[in-house]
Amino acid sequence: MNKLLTRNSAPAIDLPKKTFRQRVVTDFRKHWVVYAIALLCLSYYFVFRYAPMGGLAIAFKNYRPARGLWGSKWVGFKWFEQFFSSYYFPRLLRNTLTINLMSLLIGSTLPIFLALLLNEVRSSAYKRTVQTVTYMPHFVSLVVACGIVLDILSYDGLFNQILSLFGVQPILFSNVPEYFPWIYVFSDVWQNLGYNSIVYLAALSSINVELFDAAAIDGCNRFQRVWHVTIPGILPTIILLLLMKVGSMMSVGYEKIILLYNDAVLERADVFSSFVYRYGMLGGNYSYSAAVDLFNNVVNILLLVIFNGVSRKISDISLW
Amino acid sequence: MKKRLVGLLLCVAMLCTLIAPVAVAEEPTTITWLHQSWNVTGLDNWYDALWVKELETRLNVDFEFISVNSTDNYDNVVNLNIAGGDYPDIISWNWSNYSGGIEAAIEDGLVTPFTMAELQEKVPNYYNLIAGNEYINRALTLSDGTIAAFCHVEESTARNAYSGYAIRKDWLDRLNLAVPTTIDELHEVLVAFKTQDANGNGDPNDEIPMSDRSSLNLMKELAAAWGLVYNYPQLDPVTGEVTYWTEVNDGQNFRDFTLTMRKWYAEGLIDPSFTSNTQTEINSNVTSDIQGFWHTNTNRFPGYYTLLQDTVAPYADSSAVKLEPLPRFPFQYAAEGTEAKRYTMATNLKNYVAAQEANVITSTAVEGGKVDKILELFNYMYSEEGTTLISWGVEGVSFEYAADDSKVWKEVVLNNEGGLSSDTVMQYCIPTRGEFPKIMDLKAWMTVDCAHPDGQRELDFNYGADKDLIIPAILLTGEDSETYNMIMNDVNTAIAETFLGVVIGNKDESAIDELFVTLDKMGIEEAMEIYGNVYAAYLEKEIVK
Repeated sequence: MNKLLTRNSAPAIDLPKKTFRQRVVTDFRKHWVVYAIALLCLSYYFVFRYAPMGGLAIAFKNYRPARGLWGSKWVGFKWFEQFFSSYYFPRLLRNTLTINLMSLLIGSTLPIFLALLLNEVRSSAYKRTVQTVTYMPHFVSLVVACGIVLDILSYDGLFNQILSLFGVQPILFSNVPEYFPWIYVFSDVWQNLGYNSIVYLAALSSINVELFDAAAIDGCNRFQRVWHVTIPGILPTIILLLLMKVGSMMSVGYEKIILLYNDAVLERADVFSSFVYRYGMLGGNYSYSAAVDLFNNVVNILLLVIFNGVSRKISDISLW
Repeated sequence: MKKRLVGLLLCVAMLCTLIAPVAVAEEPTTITWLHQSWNVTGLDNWYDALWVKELETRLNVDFEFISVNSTDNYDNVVNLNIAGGDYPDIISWNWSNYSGGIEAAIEDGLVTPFTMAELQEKVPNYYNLIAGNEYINRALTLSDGTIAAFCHVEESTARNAYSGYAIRKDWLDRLNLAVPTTIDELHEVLVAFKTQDANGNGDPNDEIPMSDRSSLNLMKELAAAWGLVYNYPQLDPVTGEVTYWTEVNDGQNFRDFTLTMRKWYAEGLIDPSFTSNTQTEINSNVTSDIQGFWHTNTNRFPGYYTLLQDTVAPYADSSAVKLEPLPRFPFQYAAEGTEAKRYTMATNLKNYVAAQEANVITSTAVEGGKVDKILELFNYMYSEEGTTLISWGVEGVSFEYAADDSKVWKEVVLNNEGGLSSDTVMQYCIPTRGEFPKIMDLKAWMTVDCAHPDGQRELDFNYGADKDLIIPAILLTGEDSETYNMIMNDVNTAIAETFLGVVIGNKDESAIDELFVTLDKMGIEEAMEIYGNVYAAYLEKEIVK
């Protein structure tokens, strides 16, 4: 007690202001362990994320492995010109954006609904069962998952067997171009719905319970509580995840596309990545692949910056 | 004292005998070889194969295979190895995957070329093959007359005639139908299969008269009856000029072929799932006894018979099950009064070597002073003795000579758990695969991949077909290659989706006319001109000796 009193009663001393360098050195000495841990993370980003960016130079070169990155000849914007003047460029752009917009609208909203519904479930056994069942497809490998999807949609698959009960002639869904984006998006929903809802469930658990109680006392019914308390509570999470999704608007992974498509549906299924896979990777033209990827990522970053700015203006929520 | 002296002398004598061979024997030359692993049951690594061990002993070399798992993307592995700058001594690869091809790889200092004089001196066995066959000569010599590719060489291109088709003869017999000999007869037969309960199980609706895989193996073969070589530049059946299959006869043949397939599909004669079928579905249809006519390779007959005889028994006499290989169907547009040709589209029937799929000696081997040893090794691999070793294994172990001096497999190869299959043979030798510098021994291959009598009949049909449409593989380089590939990538995509779309009814017939306009816009004429010029140069190419 005395000690406390003494400390409190001590006269204030005007310490000389430390320079930035001094503060850093002091802080480093004090927390060097934390700096060491941070260094590991930073090295990872430097080595695996920033240093390889130098390799983007191959997008402007005629890269030949034996000549190496710097020995290959510069060709300027040749690959970009070739890509933009490709007969299929407009179609690829349309398909990539269609699949991504549908994924954004359907694939990103359904996990929110699932999380909201699960949040309202009172029986924990039922809740856990639903969660497990919806998470499970996420852990199935993509190749197997696509095999299951094609099997279900095949001529004598589950869907057609159900349709036949109603006298509908079998439809080979995987051969109809118009169905392809739906198959792609809904198979994604099936595989990742539960897993993607985890982050929303986590956000839901952080909402102050007193807000629900207050809303109930104010006379809100369950739906109104969801509308006025739950959704505003997880809105920052929703917006942040949407922004990140917008940041990959020009990218669709080629693996799933090439596992699901065939020549009959190419006009709706072919996206930038599958095109690059066929034209660039299979033919060993890495420069061409790098050019298309660079273009995609530049557009992705632009979209992210624009939407982040818009979001900051409208809702005050942004990534930075 | 005497005893001690004798003991000492004996010890010295023993030491001398131990040391002597060590001092005399030359150290084996270590050769690093980047070569894709094959997915062979029971053979994890090349080192385990008998012929590799034997080759090491006979040539005093020590192979260090850079093992690449067959599931990895081999192209990426090769590129990474090359980009690393520390090349293996030998690289086996499809060099069309190197930007600019094998000539570019030479220009970049990666691959070592040899003059014919050098080959004559150091690899005479390979030289004799090249000098003695104009196809091999034209295919392998580069623009400056040198050769860098060491490929597997076909003893006869008959080995490339493994792809054909077969029909259920027992179904034909049940319906009292003759084996179809024309496209029209084939159509009638398929209709009968569809409507007359061809498998005799009481259900008239379960038959799939004709099936195909998503890679369209069967349709590609059938296209030859319209004088078309699916997705390859070809010679026009009438004019003999270089053209593309969509351009033959102003597109009329392509149109007729596409619309015929469309009609058959609409009539329910073609498996509705063919666009996504793999060999698994084909096998499953065979097992279910519902498939009448499909594509077969010569090595698949035993497997199909096993599937059929195991499962058809419940409602048919399984011993009566019979597959009938069919010859190519006659040309649809033969002039009246002339005998129609039976064309094949198997482009490999004019290729004695796959010039791009080659083993090359890298500059690392030159720097390491190993070139002579590697050339000696290759020369042995192309020799008669080497061919026997690689194609039959070791005498007394995997094969022996019969009374008529022909080679026959030993019991250990014939009677084992897997039977005489490609996988079991490959523990000893590699008669069924190329990719190494070697001669493909036709007989050894036939004993494994064409042993069934029906397979042999199919081989005769396939090889006996007319090869007038086929252009042997030619090499496009530099700007030609770049322009051609860019145009043809777009062209092939457009054709594939229109062809399939029209056949399955997603698109109407007018899509074919639209396709022709699109192909013109894409520059198909320019691409064919490039190809035609390179082919003309190929024909005029001087035979280098």
